[in-house]
Amino acid sequence: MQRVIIILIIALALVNEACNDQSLDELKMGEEYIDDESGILLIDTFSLALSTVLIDSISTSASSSLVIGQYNNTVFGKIGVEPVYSLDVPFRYDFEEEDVFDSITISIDYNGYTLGDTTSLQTINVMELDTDLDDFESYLYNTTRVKTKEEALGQISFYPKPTRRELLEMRLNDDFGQRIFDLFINEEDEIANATAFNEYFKGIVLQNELSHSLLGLGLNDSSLCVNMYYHRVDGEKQELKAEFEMRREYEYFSQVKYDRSQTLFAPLVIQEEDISSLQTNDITLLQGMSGLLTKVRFPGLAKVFQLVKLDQIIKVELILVPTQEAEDINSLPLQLLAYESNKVNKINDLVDDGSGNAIPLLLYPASDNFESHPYYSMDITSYIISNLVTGYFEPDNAILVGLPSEYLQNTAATVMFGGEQNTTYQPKLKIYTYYY
Amino acid sequence: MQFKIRYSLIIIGLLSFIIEGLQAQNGAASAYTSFGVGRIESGATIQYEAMGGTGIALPSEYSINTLNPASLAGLKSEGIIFDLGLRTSFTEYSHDTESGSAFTGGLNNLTLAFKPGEKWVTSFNVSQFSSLAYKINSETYIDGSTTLIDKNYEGSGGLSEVSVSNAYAVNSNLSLGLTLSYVFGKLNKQESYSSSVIGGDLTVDYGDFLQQMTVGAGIQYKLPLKKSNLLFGATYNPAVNFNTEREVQTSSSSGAGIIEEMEEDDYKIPANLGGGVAWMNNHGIKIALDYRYQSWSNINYSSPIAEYKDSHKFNGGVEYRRRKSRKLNPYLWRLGGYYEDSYIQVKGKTIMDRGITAGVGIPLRGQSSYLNVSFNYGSRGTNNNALITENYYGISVSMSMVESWFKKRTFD
Repeated sequence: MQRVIIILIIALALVNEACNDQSLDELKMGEEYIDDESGILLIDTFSLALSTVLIDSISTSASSSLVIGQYNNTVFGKIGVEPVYSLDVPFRYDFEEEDVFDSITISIDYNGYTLGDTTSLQTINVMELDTDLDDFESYLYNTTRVKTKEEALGQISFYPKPTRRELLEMRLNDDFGQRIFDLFINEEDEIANATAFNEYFKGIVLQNELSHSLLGLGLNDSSLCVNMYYHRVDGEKQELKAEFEMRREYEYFSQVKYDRSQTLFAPLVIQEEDISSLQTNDITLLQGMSGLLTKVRFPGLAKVFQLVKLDQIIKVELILVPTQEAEDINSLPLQLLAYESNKVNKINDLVDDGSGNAIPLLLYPASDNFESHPYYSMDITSYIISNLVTGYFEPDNAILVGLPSEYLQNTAATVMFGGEQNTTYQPKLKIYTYYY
Repeated sequence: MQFKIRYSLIIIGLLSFIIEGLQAQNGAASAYTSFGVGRIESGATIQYEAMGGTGIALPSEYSINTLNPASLAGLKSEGIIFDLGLRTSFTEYSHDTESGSAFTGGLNNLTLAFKPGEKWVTSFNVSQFSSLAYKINSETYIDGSTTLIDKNYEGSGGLSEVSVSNAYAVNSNLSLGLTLSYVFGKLNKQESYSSSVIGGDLTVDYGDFLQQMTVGAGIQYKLPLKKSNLLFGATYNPAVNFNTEREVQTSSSSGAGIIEEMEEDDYKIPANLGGGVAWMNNHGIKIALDYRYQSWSNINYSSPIAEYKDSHKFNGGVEYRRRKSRKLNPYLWRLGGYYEDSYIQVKGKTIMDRGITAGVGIPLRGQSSYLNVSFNYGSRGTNNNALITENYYGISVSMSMVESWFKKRTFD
């Protein structure tokens, strides 16, 4: 009997396990019967401190496009960009002794990027570079300066039509053309190869003479190319053309010249010293090519543990609101980068999610019940938590907000953020926490 | 006698292995189980369940009646009676426009009883005391904002009861009974949130561990009539104040999480008073009526929409067997019903629970062993459309075996 009972009990246990099953539909009703014991709480009263930082230099070499032009703005002053590049040499045997030079031109291909008034006349001096680009041992930066020869190779004037995307070709001085042409006719050593040619003719600098806008230039076989036209009478007259293409495999860069002396940002000189939004009319700047970044500090977090425990923080969101003024002059980048930084504004690693995946700031449209202006948002939970585990938030730790490299190197994309006391475009630190 | 006690102890020991399984909920799922310790189960074995859960005045005879400890004194079997009950329940919910369903199932009871002495009967019982089962999908505002996010509530678990009852036959008409119980278990209440606004999910799990020793008393009196008996019964269970410990566990997508022991107000159940009357004739026809009262208004409970009030429950049932049956154990047919004016009042409306039951006891080979099947259909809620109406269907099965059945097999 004992055995039978034991077997029976084991069987029962199995039946019990098998039967202890429940499957319940999720009901969208009846919540009124449940006592809410927990809840989610948003705290957005922690103060931020925003400032503008000038990065010493940013590499503008080997970029995917070049920019030409100049733009003037009352907030950030003047920014001028001048492409610097060298030319390849065409095949010398394409020339014969009796060939006659006709003209020389430069062609430009827009890539569609613009900033400023593109309806007014743009005048550019095409200058001959007088600095060896390979003298620079490392990258070429926005702040790199080159010399040019005194006499211009030509001056070109045009009304930009960047949206039309057609190749613009304009004539340069004939004596420049004749000088180069003669090298071929005389079979000089200078045209033996690109290296030899660049020793003689170091390159081209496009200098702004008159400009109200920045224009992006595409890099392709015909853009920024110098075209030499000549003819040959060999029974019949032959029209011939030799192309001096831009050396895209060699050094080229955008030389950036800015002048903020007439603006509130004038004190920005060195990277270590940022300028608070309180001194710049409650805004901060972010700009490609000129190297302006916005710095965000978190002074309010000093008191965070008076309100919540570390383990109650489920999300920390940083909201930065661009002003309408920036939106008026250019379309806002959909995404911005955030770097960890410190007291001296060093650019460290990108802020990540704790697993090594960088987290960008993403642009969101205005929404009626949330933000009345477009805003950038970023989940900085991991960054804040990793700082707070030490028990307090180091007040010098900060986030630097900058442009993705395609904007930084190729455009003067400008964003102006409302500073901490800007009531219209107020930045926020939103901490989502819970109680139980 | 000694071997009976020894086997009883072995069985009880083994039962403890399956108590864990019993902790899971087996009663019908209901949004109304979110109150207090959940829905308090009737505790009846399946035979009595089929009679509408009626039995305060009924003697145990060949099957164990757990509704009144004094009833054990009426046990007619000399051997060990062993009773195992299982049940399943299917619930349909409806509310203005919404509807849903739930299926639950599990162990109802494991009970055995034997006679240590001529006038003395002892039983051991493991059963579900209360159960929680709900899953509710809702929305909530983030405090300090106008953002709505998803919030879900889920309840599971319940309390189990392990008890030992003793009944003493004072004379052939009067018996007294006393039950000593240990009620324990974990009530799981989960609140979870989900939204990209909060970076993913947050789950807050409340685990309330409850335990308490409690006693219950019962009395039965038989008034012999000419060819029948009129029986009266009464039970009393004092208020229970559970020792309560709460553990809160939170977890979130961001990694933030807490495990914390917290203070929690003790869960309380008020005193329960029951009375019953039954009529049995010599051919085994039984008619019984019960009434139970529980003073819930003594329990402090604050909620914006719900309140506790005293509950009243009426049960009635009959059992019939063919008078001319020549079999020693004929088929037993049962019918019953119940009506409960429950302790929960939502928005001023009392939650009613009413249902009908029917069942059959199928005789098995051997003396007094039965396979019992019970069906029930009930409805819970109010007629007010603003509240949830729950219709539930249940099937329960139990094996009630007498020791001699085992004995016979053993000596084959």
